Amino acid sequence: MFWTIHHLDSTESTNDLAAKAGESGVPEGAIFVADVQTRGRGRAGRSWYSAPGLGLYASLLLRPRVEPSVAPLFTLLAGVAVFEALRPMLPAEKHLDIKWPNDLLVGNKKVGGILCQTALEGARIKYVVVGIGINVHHLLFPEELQPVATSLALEAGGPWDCPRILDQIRPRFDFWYNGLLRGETETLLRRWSQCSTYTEGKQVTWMEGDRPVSGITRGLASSGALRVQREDGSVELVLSGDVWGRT
Amino acid sequence: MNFKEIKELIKLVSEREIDELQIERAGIKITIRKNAAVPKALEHGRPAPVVPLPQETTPAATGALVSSPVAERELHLVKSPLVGTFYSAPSPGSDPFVHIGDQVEVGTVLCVVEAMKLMNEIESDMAGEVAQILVDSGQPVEYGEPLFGIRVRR
Repeated sequence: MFWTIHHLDSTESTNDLAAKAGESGVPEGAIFVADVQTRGRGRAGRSWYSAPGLGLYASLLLRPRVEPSVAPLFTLLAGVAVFEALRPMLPAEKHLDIKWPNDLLVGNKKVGGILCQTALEGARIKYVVVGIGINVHHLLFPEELQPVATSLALEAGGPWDCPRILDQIRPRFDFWYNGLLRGETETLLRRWSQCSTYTEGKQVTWMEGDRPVSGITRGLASSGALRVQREDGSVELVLSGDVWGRT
Repeated sequence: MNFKEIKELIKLVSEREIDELQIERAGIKITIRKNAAVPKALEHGRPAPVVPLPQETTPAATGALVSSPVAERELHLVKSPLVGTFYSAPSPGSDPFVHIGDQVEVGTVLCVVEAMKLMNEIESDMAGEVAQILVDSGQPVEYGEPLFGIRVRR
């Protein structure tokens, strides 16, 4: 993949920028990177703490020729790419993990996240935007985030260089992206499963409508959905939202 | 299995892309088969299915140009391209993308279907008026499930 990096000091949201580029016909391979996101988002508009220059915020524009049903796998693909880029940069004793489907954790604290979006034209994917956010230089988080958030600097000292991290992510992303285009989803799911303690035997809670329910994880379905076994033994698929692990 | 449950099963089969459903439970065997006369093209949603509404009488002619036959008003269904969770608004508490009665163009974002933190913006593929919103925000949707009925503008 030929990547073209567009760097901005500040933007509302790198995902919005990449989506606009997607709408206006910019070819795939554009990456929008910003030092600050003033309106970065998590799922359903949840705010994502992105203070000036502290994190890596990058959104990749892709135009994959795959079925819309394959698109959710981009979340897992990006998670594996980021995992593989970060793993060698962290001390061996630090436990890097992926919480299904999109959070990068060190121990039980979130160090990064993936948020993807697509636009469809009929049944065809017009474009996919893969948003990656990583807490890099943060030494202090707002009080409410302290129990759940961490940064590369907090976990492994420094110095850290955001462009270098992105340089490490890109080839890993290329590798898995090309595999996905060739239809090698099983290989991706297997690799994801190796990167995450959430794959098998993890006690998790998730929401069914307004109701929290619990179960034990039993691997990934071919769609990338998380298989969970309820107390009564029945197995179901979680495809949307978050799961919370028992720590 | 009571009558209400059977009724729900029939509803499920008729709404989804299921041709036949067989259930055997507690000594009762039920087979629900969809009308075999339904053309294949409709079952699979290509071309985009159109639901005709009862014809309405033409309003009194207001000019020389209104002499065409009674216009059949049709609802174009926008269906979910993937399994996920339906969101009518970009974030909780914010305004929905569209309301009943809104005029939309081709490409107007109608909703988001989320699966594995991938936000799928579903755009209208027809210009017209939003006549029906068929799913509540936060509800799971299946592949091919109708989400919106659009009264196509002519």
